[in-house]
Amino acid sequence: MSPTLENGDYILIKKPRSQQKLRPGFIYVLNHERLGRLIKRLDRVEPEGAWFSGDNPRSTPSDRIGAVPPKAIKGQAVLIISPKGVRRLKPRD
Amino acid sequence: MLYNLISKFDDKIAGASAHCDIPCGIYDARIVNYYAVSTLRQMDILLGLKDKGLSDTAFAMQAARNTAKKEEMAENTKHQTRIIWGDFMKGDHLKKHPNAHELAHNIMLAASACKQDLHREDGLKLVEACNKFAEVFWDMKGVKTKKVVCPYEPKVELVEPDL
Repeated sequence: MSPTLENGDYILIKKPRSQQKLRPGFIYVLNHERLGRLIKRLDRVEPEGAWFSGDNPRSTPSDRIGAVPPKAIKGQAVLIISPKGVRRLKPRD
Repeated sequence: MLYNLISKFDDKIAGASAHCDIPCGIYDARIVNYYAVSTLRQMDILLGLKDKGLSDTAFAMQAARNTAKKEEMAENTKHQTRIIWGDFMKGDHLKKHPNAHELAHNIMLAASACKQDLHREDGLKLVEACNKFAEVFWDMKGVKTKKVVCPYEPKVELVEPDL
C-alpha cells in the first residue's frame, strides 16, 4: 500500500455496519481466505462481493484477490499512526 | 509520541499485509527450466542405475537418493512456475497471452507425472512445457528468445533469453 501506508504503520479501523455502508475509495482490512489478513483499497462493490486493489503498482492484482464476501471485511481504516505522525485516511482521488 | 507509545504494545496488535508476497520484481523463467532439466537428469540417472553393477544395498541407496532428488526438482519446477504465473503474469500480460494459464497448468501436470513414475518421456514433456512457458514469459518481458542445447547432460534444447 506504499506510499499511502508503510511497513510498521498502525491503523485504527471501524467496523462497517452493513455492506451498503462500504465506501469505494477507502481502505479496508479484510480476512482473505487464501491470502490471509490484507489491507487494501476498496474499488467497487458488486453483487458477488467487494473488489479491492493496492495503491502500489506492484500490488497483488485485483483479479487475484477476487470478490471478497462482506463477512470477510473487518473494518475501514480511518486513522493512520506512523512515525511521521497521525492523520486521517482519505479516499482515493 | 503516539507511535512510540503504541509500538510498545506491538505484540498485542493484529497485523495486516498489503502484499501476499515480497514484491522484489525479479522474475526469470530460466529457473523453471533449470529445475525441469534437473528433473530429467535425475530420471536419466535412475534409468541408468541398473547398468552400473551396484550391489543390492548400493542400488537401493542410490535409487532412494535420486528418487528423492527427482521429486524435489519436479516440485521446485512447479513452485517456481507458480511464482511467475501468480505474481508476474497479470493484466496486459494475460491479454496478450491468454494461454499462459494453460501453459502453467501443463507444467503442473507434467511435473506431477515426473514425480509419480519414471518415464523419460514425462521428463521430456516437462522440459517442453517449460520451454513454451519461457517463450511466453520472455515475450511478456519484451525480450527475444533463442533455442540452445544445454552444455551438460541431458543436453536438451532450452528456450533462453537472447540478451
